[in-house]
Amino acid sequence: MRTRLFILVIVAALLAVVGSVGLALADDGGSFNTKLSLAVPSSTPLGQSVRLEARLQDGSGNPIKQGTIVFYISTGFLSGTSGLMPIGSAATNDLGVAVLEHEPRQNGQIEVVARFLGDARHGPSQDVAKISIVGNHQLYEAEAGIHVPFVGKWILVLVLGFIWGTYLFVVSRVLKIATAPPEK
Amino acid sequence: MNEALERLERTVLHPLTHTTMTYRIVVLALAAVAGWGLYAFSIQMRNGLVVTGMRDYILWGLYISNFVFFIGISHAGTLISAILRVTKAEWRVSITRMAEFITVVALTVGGVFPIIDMGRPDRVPSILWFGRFQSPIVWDILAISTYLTGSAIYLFLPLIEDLAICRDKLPKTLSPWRRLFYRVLSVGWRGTDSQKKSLFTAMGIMAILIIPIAVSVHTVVSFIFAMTLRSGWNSTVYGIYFVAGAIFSGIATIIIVMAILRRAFHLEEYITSKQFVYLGYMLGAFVLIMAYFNLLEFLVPGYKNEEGEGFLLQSMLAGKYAWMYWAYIVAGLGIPAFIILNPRTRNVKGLVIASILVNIAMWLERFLVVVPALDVPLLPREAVTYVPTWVEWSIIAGAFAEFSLIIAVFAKLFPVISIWEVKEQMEQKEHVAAEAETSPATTHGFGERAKTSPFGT
Repeated sequence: MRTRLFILVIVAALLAVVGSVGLALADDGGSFNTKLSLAVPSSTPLGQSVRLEARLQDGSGNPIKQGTIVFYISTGFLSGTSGLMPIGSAATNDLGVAVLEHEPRQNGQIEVVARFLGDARHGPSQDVAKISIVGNHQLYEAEAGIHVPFVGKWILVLVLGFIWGTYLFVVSRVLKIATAPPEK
Repeated sequence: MNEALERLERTVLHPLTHTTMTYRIVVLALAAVAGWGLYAFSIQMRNGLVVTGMRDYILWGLYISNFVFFIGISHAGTLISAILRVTKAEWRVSITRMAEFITVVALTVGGVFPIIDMGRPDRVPSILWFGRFQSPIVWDILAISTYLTGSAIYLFLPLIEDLAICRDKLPKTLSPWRRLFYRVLSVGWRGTDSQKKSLFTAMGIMAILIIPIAVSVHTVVSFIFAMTLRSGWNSTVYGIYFVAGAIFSGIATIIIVMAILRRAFHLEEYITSKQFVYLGYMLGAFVLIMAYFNLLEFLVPGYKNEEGEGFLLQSMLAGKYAWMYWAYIVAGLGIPAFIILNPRTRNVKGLVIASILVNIAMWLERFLVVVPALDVPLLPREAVTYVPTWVEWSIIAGAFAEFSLIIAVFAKLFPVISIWEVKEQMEQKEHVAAEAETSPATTHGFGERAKTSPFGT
């Protein structure tokens, strides 16, 4: 009788532990998953600021406060390297919304990525959106400096060439001294 | 006349064959200090720039200050030798050789400092392989190597005749390698008309060419700073300001070297107080020019008082760099001006003291160009202080010792006075005196030799 009672207690305790762990896991599973939604205008004129709005929610659709959202634009660099370039970060407010103002410097379509990297209680998530930047000119200068017609590095090469050419001429005079025939 | 010419050769060639105990001691002492500097550099090579006081904010210190200083004094040769040769200033004849020595040696010593400052000298070739024409550091390398080559050629050309004198007149007891040395370097000079024509053509070209090169070199050195977006360096006068400062310290250096070699080698007959006083007048003129630039450098930004400029001016005029700045003004401009203007102190001794002060002050001025501007914070941060370490001071001391050592060795290998030019001048004077005696009403100016010489003397 005592043995049966003991086994019953053990089984009940095990069921309680497994059940509570299961409940706890079930609860965490709901809040661990996150969802990030990025809202951007479909197009904007070049030179104007764009509002990038990212909304962060947990698995149950509740807003997550104080989450850091990092914004990137997809870019190519020096025609060989490409990747995501961070353009800024913002923290979510009470509604789970993070906002970043960005001023694109090139026309054409840009791809914006918003990322929540996760924390102890929430998993990471990201969203991607595209913006069409409309304009006829580029604010980005591919090359630094002022372009003056007929002025370039060739002038430097020319000057150096002239100087070193003169040195060679002078050295040739010295060689002429060395090879001069004796006076009659 | 012949006796005077013989005495000239005897006096100038004497140090090449006779070595005093004082000379040996001085050379040993200089070699010891230079060796200590090399040891300090080996420590820096082993451990990296962390052994210096330079860090992320103040990343240029004594090395770059010394670089600017040495490139500055290299202007001595160009000024004394080239400009005065072109302008036919007679009095410069006996001091041109020393000035040309200073140029080559100062460029050799100063040009090494950017490499020391790099911390990884093994990466120097990367500047050439991967450098861009738009970079001031590449301009610097091109300008300094071009100037050093030009100065070495310009030193060598007037030496040819004197090396031939060494080959022919020095005693036969001279060591075989010295005899070979003079024979090779005198390039078979026999003084024929065709040889003279070739030599004077070459000298004439180099005397003119070296002047714009020298000016451009110090302008380019200033670009390292002026092309960088920093308070204190955003200046359009930096080019000419650096050139003026270079000539200023160059004149002071030649006065000091002239005084030492004159005394050591008993050259009082050829380097008289006239040379000192004339150089003193030039030093005085540059005191005024530097004072003017200093006024411009501070008045304009001080009036606008932009945030960073205001910080810089405050630290220079009344802050932590004030003692240096006012030492530069008083010792580098005020006292030298007083010494030069006062006829009682305008003598060899007074001018040497003025020159020493000018050089110390100009070194401080170079430091003030480099360091305080880097101290201006671009972002909010804690105040930082640059304190050079013993490694940096040792390398600097080694560089000054190396500079003096090379000059001392040069003075044992080459005549420190241009014998042929002084001789030529003496002959011209005698020729003019003889003509004046026979025909007092007629003056023909320079003698026969002047017709072949590039600029006369």
